Amino acid sequence: MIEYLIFALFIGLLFHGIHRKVIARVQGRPGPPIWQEILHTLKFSFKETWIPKTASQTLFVAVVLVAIGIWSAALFILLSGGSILLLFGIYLLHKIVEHGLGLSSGSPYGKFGAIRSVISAASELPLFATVGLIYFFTHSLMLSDIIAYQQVHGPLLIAAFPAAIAMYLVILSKLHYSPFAIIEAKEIVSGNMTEHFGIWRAGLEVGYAIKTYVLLYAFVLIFIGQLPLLAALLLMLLILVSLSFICAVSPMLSPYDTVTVQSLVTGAIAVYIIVLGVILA
Amino acid sequence: MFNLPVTNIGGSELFVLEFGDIVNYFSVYTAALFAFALIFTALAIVSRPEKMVDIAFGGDAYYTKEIDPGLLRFQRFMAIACGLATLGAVVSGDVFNFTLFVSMVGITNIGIVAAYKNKHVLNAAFQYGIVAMLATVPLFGGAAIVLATTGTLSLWELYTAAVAVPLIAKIFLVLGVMGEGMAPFYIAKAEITRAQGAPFILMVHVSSLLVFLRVVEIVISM
Amino acid sequence: MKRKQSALTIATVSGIVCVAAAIFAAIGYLAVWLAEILIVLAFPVFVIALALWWSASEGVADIPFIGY
Repeated sequence: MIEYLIFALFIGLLFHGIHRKVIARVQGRPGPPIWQEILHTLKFSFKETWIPKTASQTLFVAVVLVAIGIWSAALFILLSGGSILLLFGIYLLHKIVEHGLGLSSGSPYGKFGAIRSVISAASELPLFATVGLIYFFTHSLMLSDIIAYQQVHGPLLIAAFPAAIAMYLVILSKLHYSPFAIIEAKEIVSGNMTEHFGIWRAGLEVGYAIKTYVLLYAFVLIFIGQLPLLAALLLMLLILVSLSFICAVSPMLSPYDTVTVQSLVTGAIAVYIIVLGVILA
Repeated sequence: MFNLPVTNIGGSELFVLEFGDIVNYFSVYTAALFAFALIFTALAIVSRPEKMVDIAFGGDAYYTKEIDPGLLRFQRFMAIACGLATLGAVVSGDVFNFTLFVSMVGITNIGIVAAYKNKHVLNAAFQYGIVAMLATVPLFGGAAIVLATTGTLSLWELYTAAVAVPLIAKIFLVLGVMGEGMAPFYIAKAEITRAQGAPFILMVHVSSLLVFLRVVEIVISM
Repeated sequence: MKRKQSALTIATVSGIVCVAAAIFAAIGYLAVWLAEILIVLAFPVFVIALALWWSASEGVADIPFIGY
């Protein structure tokens, strides 16, 4: 259990490193070694750390703990075949983490990041559409039932293809360097993470690494089904590399454009659900 | 004694809290939401607000804004009330109680935001207040339609396959919650985050996201 | 020095909680969901306390950099 959590943590960090490497290669740069993000997290954890004087101290620290806690919980939900609605809930709670990170320090850059995280609330809508469409097919939101459904009827990737696109978009919008990553854009220094330095940043990297692992693994479980661990990891890597290609070749969108794109995708899926459920039924 | 009719949405039932014929329930899902609301209510109680730093436009100078302790006390009170309302809303086993708690979340949210003397923030609070007021119509209207068509407001009854809830009632409930909590509408409310008191402002988002998550569960299960 | 000690204590205790929960769940002494909750609560504390422990300075502090 704890061993799987630590495994997921290191694989997640490794995925972040591979993500950076692929982006660099696509852009014609050598790029950092793939274990860079592991070193990065360790480096942060060894740095001298304090809490900014202007910060709301309890919140400043608590948000980091919450970030690690919710994604550990999400991993256990995946492993125990729990409800994907709960997974969706945790994904929404991640928004509160992002928001709390930015607000707690009192820094204007953090605050900009927090406001952008509020604006990009639309990034949750595709996930909601995903949940709706999956329920339409499986009549259950328990992961174990979804896996059982796929063993009988074949992968949902084919049956619920628009939902897969929506979830792909959700994963994309939470990756570093993605066109939707407006909350950590460099024009606002590091956005909501600006003031979380040293071990706080190390803690966040830990949480985010588990998050990347969970989201990719959830995609595999929900749309392809239960696979042996190695095959699942390989598939997750493939999905990640495809995401890295998108991140490498697309510029960061402006905040309102991200909202537009995500809302349009959600609208398209809503139309798809209506067509399936109302017109064809 | 009680058996949650739908366990394939939010997980199995853990335990129930009975108040006469109103039976609140903790499934895996609602218990998780409850725990999260509890964490952030506790944070609102114990943490001190941050000191907001502003950069003077066009220069390197920065200054911290002054905070009025009296307003902060009111804001903290409202944040705690909001947390309590959220706790009620996420475990409620009754549509009417749910709508009541959600409208209370809306009221306290206005209180949290309006406790800051800044034109932009007060404007945003006023507009949000209008949205919240308008949203009570579909919110309670949805509950009323549920009662009128099915004869019950208890989720225990509504979750069973025998009871069919009309689609319009579900849509009304979701619309009402969307208006009361700010979740999707806070795109227009970025001004709100100009207000001081991070732990309290955060409560606005915690409550609206949690009631939104709860209404999703209710609507899918019904 | 005192802070380093307390960070080490917290890290050890939460680390033991994590490992013990996992082991007890594996051999069936503890319900799996209870072990999961324990780990979710203890793991973040472990990560932060561990980092606090090894990042805390041991001896006399350096003169802080006060700007150009």
